[in-house]
Amino acid sequence: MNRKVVAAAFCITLLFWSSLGLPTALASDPSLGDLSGTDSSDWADTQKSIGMRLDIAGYTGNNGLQAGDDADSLAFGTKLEKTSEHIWMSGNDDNVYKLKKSDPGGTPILSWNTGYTYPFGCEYRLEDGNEYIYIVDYNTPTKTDRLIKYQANSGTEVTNWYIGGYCDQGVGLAWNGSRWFISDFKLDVIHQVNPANPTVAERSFSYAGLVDCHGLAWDGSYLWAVQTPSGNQKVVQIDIYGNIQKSWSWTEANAPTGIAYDTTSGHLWVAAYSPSHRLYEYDTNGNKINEWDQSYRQPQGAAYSSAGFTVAGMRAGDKNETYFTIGTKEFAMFFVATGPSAGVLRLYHKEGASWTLAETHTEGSIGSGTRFESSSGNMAAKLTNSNPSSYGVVKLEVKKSRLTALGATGSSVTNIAGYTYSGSSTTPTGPGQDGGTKRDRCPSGSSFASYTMSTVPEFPLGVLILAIPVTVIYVHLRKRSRVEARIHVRSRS
Amino acid sequence: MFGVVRRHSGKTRVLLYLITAALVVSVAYSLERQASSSTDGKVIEAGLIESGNKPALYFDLRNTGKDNANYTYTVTYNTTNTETEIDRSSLTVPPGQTFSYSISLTRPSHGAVFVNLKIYRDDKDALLLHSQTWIIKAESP
Repeated sequence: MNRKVVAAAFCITLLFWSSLGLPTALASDPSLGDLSGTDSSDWADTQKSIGMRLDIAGYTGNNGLQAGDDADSLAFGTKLEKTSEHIWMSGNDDNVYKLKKSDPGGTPILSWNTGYTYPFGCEYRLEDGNEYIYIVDYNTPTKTDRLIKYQANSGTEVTNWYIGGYCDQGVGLAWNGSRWFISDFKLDVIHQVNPANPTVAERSFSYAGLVDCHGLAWDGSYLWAVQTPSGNQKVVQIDIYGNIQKSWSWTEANAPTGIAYDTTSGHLWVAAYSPSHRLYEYDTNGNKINEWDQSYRQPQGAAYSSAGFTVAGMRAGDKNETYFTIGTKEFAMFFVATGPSAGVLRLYHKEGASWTLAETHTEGSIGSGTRFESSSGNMAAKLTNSNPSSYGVVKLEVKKSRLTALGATGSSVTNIAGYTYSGSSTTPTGPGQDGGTKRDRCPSGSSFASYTMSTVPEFPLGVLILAIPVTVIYVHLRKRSRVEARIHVRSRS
Repeated sequence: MFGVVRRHSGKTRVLLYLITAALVVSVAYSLERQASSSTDGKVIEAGLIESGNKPALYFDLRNTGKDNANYTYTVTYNTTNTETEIDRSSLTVPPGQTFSYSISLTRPSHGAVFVNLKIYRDDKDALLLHSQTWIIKAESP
């Protein structure tokens, strides 16, 4: 009996002292669960226009918001869409097609007519958050080639540049982050072009054995090129001076005309034109991964794109905000990016009709998945990149004690809504658009979600819980003392 | 026989008293924590937390008055690019509440970063409440 009581008392004591340290450990990162009723958001798929940085996942039928709490903190998460990957192809039918990478042989997501006769080279670029497709059209008669820029998802021509001054039959196009590279089918060279003035070539070069070079792609360090002459079809990796790094023969029956580098898988996508129209996926050592019939699209050029939320790719003014109410007290918490990997985290509460700033924290160097917190320890955030198989998450945390001090009562959290904005002020004046544009809201329209926090024993309940084992042990000791006193009296008598 | 029982019971009793004492201390500590979290007499507390390559400046501003108080704070610091950054904002703190500010900075690889904090009480003719400068030096190699 004694041993049991001692063991129980010891365990309770240990538990208590552990629990004193536990809030410190658990103050970080309470786990999140999906909030029901957040499977809708204001954005439709067709409205995406800023590279999906700020798409809340709710619109696809997934729950877009999350919540969670522990003994110490309450946390909200906004799920941002998984990175989307697409293959773009320019075709002999003068169209551009956008295909899902997960289903390149399926129905295209969209297509549009280029308005040009020979749209061969094809490249995708994300500029200022907007998606563009660039095409080189070699056209006839000779030396009438043009570089054309389109809005990727509508096909609206933005502008074009005459490149016929140096390019005779431009059939390949790649962007290395600062320069264009255009392969010239007739002159058997590759032109390097400064985007500041695409009408002139900075220089032109070739690689050993270059014949009928068509498609070009950039893998982050090197160019990849495909050449088409029968009996000498190759895939070649070169540096920007034409030094061959790697080369393998193309043994498919169909001549390769377009190539794209997949920055996610590290594979190559090759569009083949003649005699049959196909799209191939190869690794960079020349091993075929898969192929798809493209006879109804007749591809000539190819490009790869991926878009999603990346911490290193945040734009100043990207804002992620959550509103919530505890008891009758309204709160707003947001993170606004001040640049790539930097931003401001803030907590506001409503006093009367006005939002009042309670806490602010500025963080200058944020890594994906790395939690940072304010010096007070009352607020924290964790931003996680999206990738093709998982959502990006912006997680905002706040200590319950801070919320209570500001007037929160009870454990019911209501009126939860998540917002994303772009272009908001980087010296924020309060919740809301703050000079920016609303991008998304979840749940959609004017509906809200709710969450119930786990009940944590607080004063005086916590003290009462502690007092119970003390009382039990005390009663037991009193009882034991009386028994032992009786034994002692009997033994003496 | 009884001697053995008494000796065993004595040890147990001591242990139980010790545990009881520990629990009582726990209760006292819990009450103290509860009490200290709800009373904070300081109006302004500011400091620099030197933590590796990411030192952080913080200040807490507590309104101990009975009415809303308006403040303006200015945090000025030079970056590693020798540009000067100014973080300036005006805010209202309701009575009895605390505003908390913090900024995570980057320790310079060479030279030093000078961080200056000024806090003004706006509704009293811009009364300067606090002015302090910290120097964040580069870590010695």
